[in-house]
Amino acid sequence: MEAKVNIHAFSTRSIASNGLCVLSNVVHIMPEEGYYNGKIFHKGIVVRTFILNVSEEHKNSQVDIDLFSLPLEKNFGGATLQNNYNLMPKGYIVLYVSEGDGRYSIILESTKKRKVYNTAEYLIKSDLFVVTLLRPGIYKMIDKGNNNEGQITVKYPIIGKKRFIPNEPIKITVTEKGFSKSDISLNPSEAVLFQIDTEKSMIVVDLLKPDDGPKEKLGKQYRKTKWKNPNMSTNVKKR
Amino acid sequence: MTHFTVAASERTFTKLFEKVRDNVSESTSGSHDLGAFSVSYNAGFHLEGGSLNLNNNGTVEVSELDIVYDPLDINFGIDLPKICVGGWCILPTPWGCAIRLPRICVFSSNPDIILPIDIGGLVESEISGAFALKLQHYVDPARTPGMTDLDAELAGIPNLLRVFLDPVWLDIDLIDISDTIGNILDAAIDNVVDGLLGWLPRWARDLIKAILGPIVDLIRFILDIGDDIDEWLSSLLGTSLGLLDFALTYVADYFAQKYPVYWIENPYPILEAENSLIPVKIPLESPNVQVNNNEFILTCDIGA
Repeated sequence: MEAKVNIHAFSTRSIASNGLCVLSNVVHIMPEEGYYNGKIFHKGIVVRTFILNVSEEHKNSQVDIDLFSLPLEKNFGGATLQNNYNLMPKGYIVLYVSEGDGRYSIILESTKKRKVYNTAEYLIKSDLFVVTLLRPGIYKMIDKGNNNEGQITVKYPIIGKKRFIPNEPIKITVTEKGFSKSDISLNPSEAVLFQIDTEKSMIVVDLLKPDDGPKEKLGKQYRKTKWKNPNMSTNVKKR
Repeated sequence: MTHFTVAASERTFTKLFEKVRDNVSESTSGSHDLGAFSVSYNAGFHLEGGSLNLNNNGTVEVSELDIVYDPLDINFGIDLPKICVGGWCILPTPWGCAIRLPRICVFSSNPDIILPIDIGGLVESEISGAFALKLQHYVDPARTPGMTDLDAELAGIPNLLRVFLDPVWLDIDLIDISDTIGNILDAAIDNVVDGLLGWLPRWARDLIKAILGPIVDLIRFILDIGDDIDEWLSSLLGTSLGLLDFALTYVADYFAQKYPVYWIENPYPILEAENSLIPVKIPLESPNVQVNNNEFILTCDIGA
């Protein structure tokens, strides 16, 4: 008997759009037809590649790309057939990391090399960045692209009489002026959805102060009772 | 014709029956896959109590004979649900969801958790039934064809005339399930889950427990316990595990074939061997056994 725990989901204290992890997603719209070469980076090193074919011929409006579990790149520069994705124009690619210690990013290049999309640099207008927060505590959210800050409070879980069902993600619009909501509170395992409405944005969510919940009850508490012999003199030191 | 008669009052016959009853002890084990969960068990039982009546119709009626199950160790294999985050629709449209986030599973139990409960001595069933008397001429398997009755006597393996209780009908009911079983089950669930998650920080354990909901309720739901634990356990032991049938069949076989309620040597010794004299034994022929309201009677003719 053993529990399989996605340990990185419980140990992550900092989540950033330029280094995706199990608790974050990037959603990016692909407006134009074309062939795109994708490179997946882990800690700055290319580990996998894929080809994204955006065409009117395809009906998929969404492709999910697991940056962790794509087949490992064996022959750099040549994507395998397994790593081909097809998408309709104006469809979305959803980047996620199913396991591992995070810090993933991708670069998408059109075969004509006219446009490059690089999550390691900045998210761009119309991107979505989703952060799921498990660890209770106070977080600072920062948009490093525009130097704006805000705060997120994740409440301590309450074991109730019924199963806890997380609410829908809280939506925050990110502009040059700042976050549309700069101080939010949510339950653990709920998410914040950042809608990027600025030319460049890099979102970072850092745990500032963890909340470890109410102190655990200790065993029996003994109250000390002091007894003084009234017949004994007390020496009082005087300064 | 000279006759040989043995008679025993109902009280004496009850003592004979109790000796047979007290020797009953059996164990069994097995496992079953019950769909939502699996169960394996190790069970033993013995008999206690019971009252006996001799009837004029030639039957011996036994009532309220308790089967006490001890040990009764049951291990439930349960698959706790996975805990996953994400999966939200983040761009709903009138035509459906345009973007749905993938789900990331942060906890799963693999393989199933095993929930052990030891309820030995806390479950009893009761047998009632009627038995006819059955005679059997028994030759010890160790006796070779060339042996005379004297040889067999000297070898300590004389032939026997044995009387068994042959079931006419038997009923079994699960009559007593201790009230503490619910508490035992709940405590076992808490122990297992705390052991499973014990290495995680407290906030993570609390989060998993919050998402799973009250674990006791969840596991009771998986085990399909419902409101009445007695009814559930009765169905589990009786129908799913077949434990009651096993006990009933074993008891029936035991009384009918394995352990006689009474036996005597045949030929019957009337004088022990002494000095150089051989023992004196008389052959018993045409044996007959019967009961009436008052007594048990074994009659035989004495042969030449």
